[in-house]
Formats: sequence, C-alpha cells, structure tokens
Amino acid sequence: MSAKRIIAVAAVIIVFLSVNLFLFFKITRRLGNNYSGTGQMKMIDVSRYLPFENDSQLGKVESSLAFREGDDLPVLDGAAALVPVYASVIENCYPEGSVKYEGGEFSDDNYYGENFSSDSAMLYRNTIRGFKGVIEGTSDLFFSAYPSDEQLEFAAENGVELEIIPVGREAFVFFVSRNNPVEDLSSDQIRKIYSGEIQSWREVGGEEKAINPLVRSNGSGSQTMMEKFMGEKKIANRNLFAIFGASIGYSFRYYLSGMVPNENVKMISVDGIYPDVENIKNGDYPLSTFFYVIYRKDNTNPNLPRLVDWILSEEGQEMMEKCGYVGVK
Amino acid sequence: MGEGKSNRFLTAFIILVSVCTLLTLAHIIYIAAAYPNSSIIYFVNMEM
Repeated sequence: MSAKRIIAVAAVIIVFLSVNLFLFFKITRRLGNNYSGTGQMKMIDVSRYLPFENDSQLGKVESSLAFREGDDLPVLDGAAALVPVYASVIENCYPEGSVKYEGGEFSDDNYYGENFSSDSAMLYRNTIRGFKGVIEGTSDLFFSAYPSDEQLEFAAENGVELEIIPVGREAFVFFVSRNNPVEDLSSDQIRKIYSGEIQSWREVGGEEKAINPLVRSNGSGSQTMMEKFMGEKKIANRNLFAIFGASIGYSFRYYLSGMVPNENVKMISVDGIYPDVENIKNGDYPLSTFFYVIYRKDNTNPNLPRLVDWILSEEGQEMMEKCGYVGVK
Repeated sequence: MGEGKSNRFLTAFIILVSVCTLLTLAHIIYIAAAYPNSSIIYFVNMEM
C-alpha cells in the first residue's frame, strides 16, 4: 500500500476517533450512569433510610404516638427527596415489622415501590407514580412538593378531593460545577438564563462559556417548582450546542446536599443569600418553600389524622429537624 | 491490474468511512436519547 493511501486511512480513523472521543469526554460519560430510570433511582439508596435498622440515617425522637401491630396503619409514600422524613415517621410511630423491604435487583421494570412488598406500610414510588398511587388509593399519605397543575387536574378528573398540608420547609436551590467561579445569581438572572435571554456565563460574572441550563422531567417536584419560579417567563428549549458549555441545574437542598451529595457540585446563593438551614429558617433565603403531606379527603382510616397531627406536633417537627429539614413551626 | 487494486482500495476506503460515520451517528443518537433522561446532578458532577 502506498504512503498516500496509508495516510488517507489513518486520517479517516484519527478524525472519527477524535470526534467520538471528544463527544465521549464532553457528554457521554456524564450520561452513562443515568440512561434509564433505573440508573436514576440507583442514585438514592433507599436501604440507607429503612426504618428499624440500626444503621439507618433517620430522625429519632421520643414519640407519644405508637401504633400497634393490627392497627390500620396508614401506608406512606413520597418523593425521593422526602424518603428520610416519612421513613422517620414510621421509625417513630409504627410497630417493627410494618415495613417489608424486599430489596431485589434494580431493573427497568423494578425501580420504584416494587422493592417493598404490597402489604408494607412504607412505599417508595417517587413523585409521579406516588402521586397517582394516593389518588388511586394504593397509599394513604404522600409526602411531596406542591403538586403540579397536571397532577391536580388528574385528581379532579378522578373525582378525588385532596387535603394538602404543609409539614416542613425546604429550599429550592440552584447548583453549578465546583469549577464554575460564579457563586451567586439574582432571581432575575436565573429567569433570564432559563428563558434564553442570557446565554453566556460572562454576562453574569463568570467565564466566557455558554450556559447549559438543565431541566428535569415534567411532573417532578423540582420541575413543578421551577415552572412556578419562572412565573410569566417560559423555559426556553435547549440550545443544542449549549451542551458543550458549563451547566446550571436545580433541585431541593436536602436532596442535593444530604441524599445524593456530589463533591463536584456546589449550591449557589440566590439574591445574595446562601440556602443554609439558618437562612431557610429565618426566611431570608428567597426560594424557601414548603413540602406537604397529601391525602384523599374521603380517606376513612382513623389513624391518618392522628398521624398528621403528630407530624405537626412538637415531636414531629423535632423529628423533621433531626432529619436535616426545617420544620414549619 | 493496477486499476483493479485501486478500485479495491477505493471500495475498502468507502466502507471504512461508512462504518466510521455509522458508528458516530449511533453515538450521537445515544446521546440524544440519553441526555433528556439523565440525572442533572450527575451531569454537573462530571463536568470538567
């Protein structure tokens, strides 16, 4: 083979290899762990929050409410970010043996509540499926951010009236890579970033890099919160090439800092206020929000109102703080 | 005979370019499918 032909073949291989390696290091390796719903769910290790296990990371208090075996135990379910809260409620108020965790292999068909048996008092189906569950009556009490308009419509279509009661405070937070020099954004800047009016980090005091505003799936708690935060402004469609820029995303504080902590991710201040417990408690952080318990108004389980009252009591609120959240009282 | 060799090389070269293009397209399709479903925290965590 002549030298020219060897060079031509080598050039083709090098060009395609370079393009694919570039794409891999810039994007693909950042997706590999998360392609399927299974991958996403593996990021929360629910077995760390199982009630009645010695090494579980739950908020334990002296509880005056103690259900017994044989009582009609309300079945609890909730959003990923609130697993520690409702698992702690069970730890404090339910009899041992009421949670039946089957573990099992994660798969695309088994990535939410299927890891608990059907007669378990604790389920874990996350926001979208869990909300449907409480409407359909497969759980009694659902812990979540405020439901989206679509979820409320779904309840109305099914003729279900809901009680939605705030039981704790959380913060809606924005995060960037640790390497990003930006530490603070104003609410207005964030809205402009997500509506596409600001597209470079340089415009907000950062480097000359495109901003890649990441969004979550519709119906998730944080996406509903983001839509509320944006108000009149619409979230712009993703700019194809921004994927090569530096990203910004949003979540809830405890989920980001306590449940899936990532050392290369940092929360940023909003309007000059950092989302720490103190600033959430005193109301200084502008994006403090409530989280709620949601149940059907026609639920006749007599233990349900007792449990909600306990969650709102001094003991329940102390438990909330021990879990790393902020109480409403 | 020289022309025959040249044609064989051309064919092999076109096949090589086609295979590389198809593999790259498959890579891009995977990204397009995976990106909207990926965890945004993990995506930022892995940012260099």
